[in-house]
Amino acid sequence: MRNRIYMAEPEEFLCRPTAEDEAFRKTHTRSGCSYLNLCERFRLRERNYVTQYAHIYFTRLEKMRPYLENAAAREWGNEVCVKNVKKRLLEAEVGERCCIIGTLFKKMELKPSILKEISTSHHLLSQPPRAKLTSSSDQLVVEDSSQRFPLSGNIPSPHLVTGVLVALLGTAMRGGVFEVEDYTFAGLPSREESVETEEQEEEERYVLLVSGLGMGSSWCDQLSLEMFVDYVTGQLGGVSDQRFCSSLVRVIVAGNSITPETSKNAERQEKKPHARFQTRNYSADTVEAVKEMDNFLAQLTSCVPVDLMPGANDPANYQLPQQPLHLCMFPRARATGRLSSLTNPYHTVIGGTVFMGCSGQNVDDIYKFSSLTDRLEILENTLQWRHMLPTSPDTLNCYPYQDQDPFIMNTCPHVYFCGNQPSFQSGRITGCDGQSVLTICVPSFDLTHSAVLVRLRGGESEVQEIEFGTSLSHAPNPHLEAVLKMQKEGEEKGEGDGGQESRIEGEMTLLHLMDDDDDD
Amino acid sequence: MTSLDEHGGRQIRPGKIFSEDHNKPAVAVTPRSEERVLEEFDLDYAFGPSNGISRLMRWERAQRLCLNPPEEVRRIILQHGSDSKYNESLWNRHISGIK
Repeated sequence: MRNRIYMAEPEEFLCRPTAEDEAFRKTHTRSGCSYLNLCERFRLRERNYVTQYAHIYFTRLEKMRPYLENAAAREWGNEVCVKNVKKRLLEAEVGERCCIIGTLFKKMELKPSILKEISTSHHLLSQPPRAKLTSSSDQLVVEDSSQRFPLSGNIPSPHLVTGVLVALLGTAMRGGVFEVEDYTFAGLPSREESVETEEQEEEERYVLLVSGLGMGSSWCDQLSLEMFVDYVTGQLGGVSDQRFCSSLVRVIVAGNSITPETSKNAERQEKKPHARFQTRNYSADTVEAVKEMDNFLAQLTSCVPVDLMPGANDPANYQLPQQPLHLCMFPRARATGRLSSLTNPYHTVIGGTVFMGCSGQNVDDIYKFSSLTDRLEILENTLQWRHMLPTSPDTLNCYPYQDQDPFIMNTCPHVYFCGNQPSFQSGRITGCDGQSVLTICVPSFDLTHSAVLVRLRGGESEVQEIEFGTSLSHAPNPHLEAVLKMQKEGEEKGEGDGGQESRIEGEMTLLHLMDDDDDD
Repeated sequence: MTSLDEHGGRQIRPGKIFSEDHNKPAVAVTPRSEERVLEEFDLDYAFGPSNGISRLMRWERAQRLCLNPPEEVRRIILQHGSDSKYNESLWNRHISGIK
């Protein structure tokens, strides 16, 4: 059920203006808030792409090893662990009940492999795009730098993905398989107490999270965007709404501000070379979309600080961590000085509340490679695994770090979000030290026309969805329905003739629905 | 350090690989050359993969991860300078064209 922010009391809103009316002379000042940008660790200084990815896996395992040893000690008691925790998988002897620590790897038939594509005949189509790439023949394996063990027993292999670090209690069997009795992950990181908390008792402060604005698309709902801007800048609603909006201290745009349509068009354009005289008055779709984004941001930043994160569809680098979008693309918004362009895994402290999050690539990738369907559950799992992007670098492209893995969570956030999800979801998860984290799936604005409001209260932050719907009826957004239907068909489809067909079908459905909309 | 088994040959410790040097007499216990020390460091998988990373960076990474890398290795590398070939792992000499 979605909450709707209702308009102010009719008496103060829908009344005849009078010259003596105090409300029209009153101005509200936006609250200030402390802000600490911790995204520096995701900035890439040097770009060395010659390194292999083995280094990042080694660093990940060695860094997480102490956390996993503690988690194993907590779960299975000191007795088993002090005697039997193995430093190397190589040391696990057949028939001995012991605890081993390693990285999971899932052998998947349907995982896209460039080798398979090259080795088969050129006439065959490459694998059609599917929503889920799991199959019943997937096998889970634990490995470290010495050897690997296929796993069997008490371990939920459809829910797990490659790259997760795990501590396992069990026995190595003859034949090379490790029979698992119990398993545990590193768990939530501990909270740093140094984060200041005295600000929270004073005023109510709010942060607005929005993602998937989808500028430059043909079905972009301008009215919803205008309503959003008007609401944030205090031009919508009555006096109490304006008072409320003055306590909004920051807007976080969590990626995918540009629609993916423009990149598809750009690909089509590149394939046909044009003569220069034909392209004189032509401007690429992406450029137009970015100009629209600049106008949008300029309106927002005229009165509220904005943090801009890049997403999968934005003109930023493809590998994670995505570097900040260059501010030269937003000249008008940059001139106000309130626009901060930040990295894709996002980490800041706003008013004493630690925010960490991603633009959605992590959850989308895990969704493809595991049988989990609840995206909030996937997000909470990444917290339990203590790693924001476990599937990188296997299926999610990331920078080949040599001596660090910055995606391991060292401190516990208060608010942990991921952007560009199909619907709003939120939950609360508690760690073993009592640290509580608010988890949020931020919905994609172009599908749901809604944003997420977070009340800053440190560990007890609260969240609510705000919808900027423009249809007079309560009917759901037809575009969203079409997309969800396509996704469901993709999940259910077995062999399929090819992704091409379903994509064309989907587009035609959308065009059909758009025509309907115009008639209304 | 070399040690002898019952046949007088060199005993190989698990996890480390010694390259046989046929010019030296099998029974002699010679002080290891600096290059040998560095090569052993490269081949010891306790400190992670050694391909595509300089020895000094690999040593510092091992130090940060509390793996207790031998101090001797760092001393030798810094003595010759971090730009010298002493800082490149042994794979660099065998694979041409790739640093």
